[in-house]
Amino acid sequence: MSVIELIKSNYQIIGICVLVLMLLIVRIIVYLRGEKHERIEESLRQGWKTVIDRCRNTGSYVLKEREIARFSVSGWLRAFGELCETTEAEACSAILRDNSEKLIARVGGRADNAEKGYFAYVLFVADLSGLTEAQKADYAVFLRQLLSNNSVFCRENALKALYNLGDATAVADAVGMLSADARLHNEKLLSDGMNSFRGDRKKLAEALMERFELYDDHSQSAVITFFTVADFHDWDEQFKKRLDNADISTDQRCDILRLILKQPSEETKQILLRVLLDKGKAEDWQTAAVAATGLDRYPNDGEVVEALKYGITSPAWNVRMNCASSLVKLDPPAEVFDGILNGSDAFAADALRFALSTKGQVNE
Amino acid sequence: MIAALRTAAEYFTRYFNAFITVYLWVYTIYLLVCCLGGAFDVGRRRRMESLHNVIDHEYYYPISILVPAYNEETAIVQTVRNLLRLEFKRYEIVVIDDGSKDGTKQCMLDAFPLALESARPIRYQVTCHPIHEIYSCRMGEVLITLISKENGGCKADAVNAGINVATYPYVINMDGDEILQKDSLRLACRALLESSNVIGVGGNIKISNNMRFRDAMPVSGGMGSNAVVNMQILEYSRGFLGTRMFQDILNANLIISGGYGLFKKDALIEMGGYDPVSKGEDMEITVKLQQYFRKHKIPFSMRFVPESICWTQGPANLKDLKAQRLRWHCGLMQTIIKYRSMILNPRYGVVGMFMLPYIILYELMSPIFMVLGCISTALCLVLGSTSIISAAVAFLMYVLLGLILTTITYIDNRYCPQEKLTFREMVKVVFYGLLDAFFFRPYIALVNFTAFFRYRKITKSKWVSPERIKVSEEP
Repeated sequence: MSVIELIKSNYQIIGICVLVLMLLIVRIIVYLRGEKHERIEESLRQGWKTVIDRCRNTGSYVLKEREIARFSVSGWLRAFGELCETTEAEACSAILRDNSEKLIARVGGRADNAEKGYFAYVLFVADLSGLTEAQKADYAVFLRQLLSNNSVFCRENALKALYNLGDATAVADAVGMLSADARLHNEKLLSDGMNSFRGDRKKLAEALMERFELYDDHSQSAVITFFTVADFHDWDEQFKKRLDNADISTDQRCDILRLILKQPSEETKQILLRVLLDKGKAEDWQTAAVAATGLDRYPNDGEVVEALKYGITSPAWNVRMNCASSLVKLDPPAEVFDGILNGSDAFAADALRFALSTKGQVNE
Repeated sequence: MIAALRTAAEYFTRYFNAFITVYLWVYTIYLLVCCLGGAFDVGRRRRMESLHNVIDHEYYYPISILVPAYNEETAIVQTVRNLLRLEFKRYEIVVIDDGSKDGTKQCMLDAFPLALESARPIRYQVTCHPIHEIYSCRMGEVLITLISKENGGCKADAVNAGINVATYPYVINMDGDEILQKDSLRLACRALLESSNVIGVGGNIKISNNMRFRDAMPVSGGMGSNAVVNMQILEYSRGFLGTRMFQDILNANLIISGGYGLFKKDALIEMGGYDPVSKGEDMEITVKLQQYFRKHKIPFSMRFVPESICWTQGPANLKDLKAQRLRWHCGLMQTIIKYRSMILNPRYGVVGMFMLPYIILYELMSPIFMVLGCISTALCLVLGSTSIISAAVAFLMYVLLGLILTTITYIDNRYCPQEKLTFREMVKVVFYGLLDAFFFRPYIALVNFTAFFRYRKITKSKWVSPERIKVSEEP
């Protein structure tokens, strides 16, 4: 029997072809319907506008049951979200305010992950300043539940909404929940999110510090980075002591050093010097590289220059380059440079020569 | 004697036909699963995006874009100018002139205020031929570095030089004739934000020959008048949105294209960089990463992000296309031989047990099976065990299946989605889809078949740059 006859006799293959053909037909229909999508979306927006007009006229923003049900349907939800970012924002906020319990029950109970995530996004873009504390707390509970969701997008949208709510305790608890569930959420997303917090950031910092020990290493690093960017130095002493804790990760040590080096002091200088001298030639050189970048803020006394001269002979490239860069910025006496450039360590000389050629600007 | 030959031919056709039936069965089902899986994933992504379930953060991962260039004087300046238009906060451009014989270096020096950096130390973390000179300048916030090095004979060596000079923790490997779409880096970085285990991200590569660009974004184009280019457009659509999406779901990507791949620099350095001996250095590094991370049970993922788009020039004539495909097929052979210990080895999970055997059977060996299939069909006709009509029907079925898949993936992956899909364009898709089945694919199979006999010669050949054109840009 030939290939051809074998194929002919296998009606399943023909079936597969027919199936693929159907797929094509479906695809073409979907494409043609795509033209109609715009019109459908516009009609949904119009539907919400009608509801908003009615609410305005009656003075009550309490929705009917069937209107609440729209929040678990993606098209309606999207149309509402779009209105939140237009001139109807105020009315949308009023709807979110006056129907909070029903909306939470509907979306929490009926919508799937994508819709839940989008509802969190709506809470992020909407103006929630008019909500009562009790309503904010209700939404915060709902949003914190979303943090246990498997979808990273849903979690991020929930966090954004929590930042928008401006409730410091809710955010601090949310970070604790992520730690407790061992859900790794990008550290930079967390720290930048904290910086976008719409409430009192100082209160947020306090709330975070109250729970700091409950957080995992990753979330602790995010909190420290938030403090660095926000220039919060009230807890620097606590963090300096933390450097003596052998259990914390190298990443967190680097984050602490980046935070404390922004506030030059004699104590900080001694810490940076100690780190550079202890770790400059060690296997875990990362902290020494960070310490080297902070020493250019101090006068070029012998202590600092000697430490940098030691660091520039490190086997670690980053330590060498950062020490060279800091040395050039400190502008020590010419014989310091001559000693390195004409010394026996060619790698140190190379690093310094490059730093001199770029005037210490390159510090990537 | 004739009777013996006839018996042998009957045995051959019988067993080969039985084998090829199973072979086609598995292939069809796999392709269908891939297309359905891919279409489902595309649909899911679009829905998620429309519902703002995407991480679109202002944060950036600092990225070094490595642009290896060998005899690229026609396109290199345009490539760099387009890279300067990227919507991304912090990145640097490293152009590696791999001892070009044309004016690649001079073009760069004329176009940008590059100054010689005599004091810059080079950290040779991966092996490459000596770097002679480094030039650099800042264009706004973006640092441009031009490396002039000794010719290493291959792209891998040039990329390794770029890795040694790159200052940022992530690197992108691309070609000297490409246009990275303005939003490509931002979209590729989403994958990095989604998981901290991502060590590589592959983007969607599209053919730029017929396109017009404005500000590093396509404004018009699609199917043009060059048949060779048009058929590559269809081929790229099929490949990227069919199998690659599915491989992404399984975390079994075996190739992050050398045309556009984002990698964690540390991971590349740990692998010793790109293999300068390999003709398919992109596949080699991807398989090497798969092997290393799976062997040591280190959590990792390599992602394919179809929204992140890079435009490349496809060979515009059969000569260049033939050279490219011979190189690719030899690269595939090299990689399979080098990593043969992974094949059917449960230690390497889905890659060892499924993807590598699949690639051997359906990519590496497919030209051989195609030739044997032709011989078998001819023998069946001679032996009278089939008729010309049956053969024609079977072939038409194969053409129809291919055409359907091609059309679906082309519609899903249109080059200018903002432009309306016209009847004329659909006619072109169907026409070139047919031409693809009758001419292009048999031709490529034949070229790949000859690769088995030219393996030694090709693997020893040096890096050649195909004929380049300047891509059309609107002011």
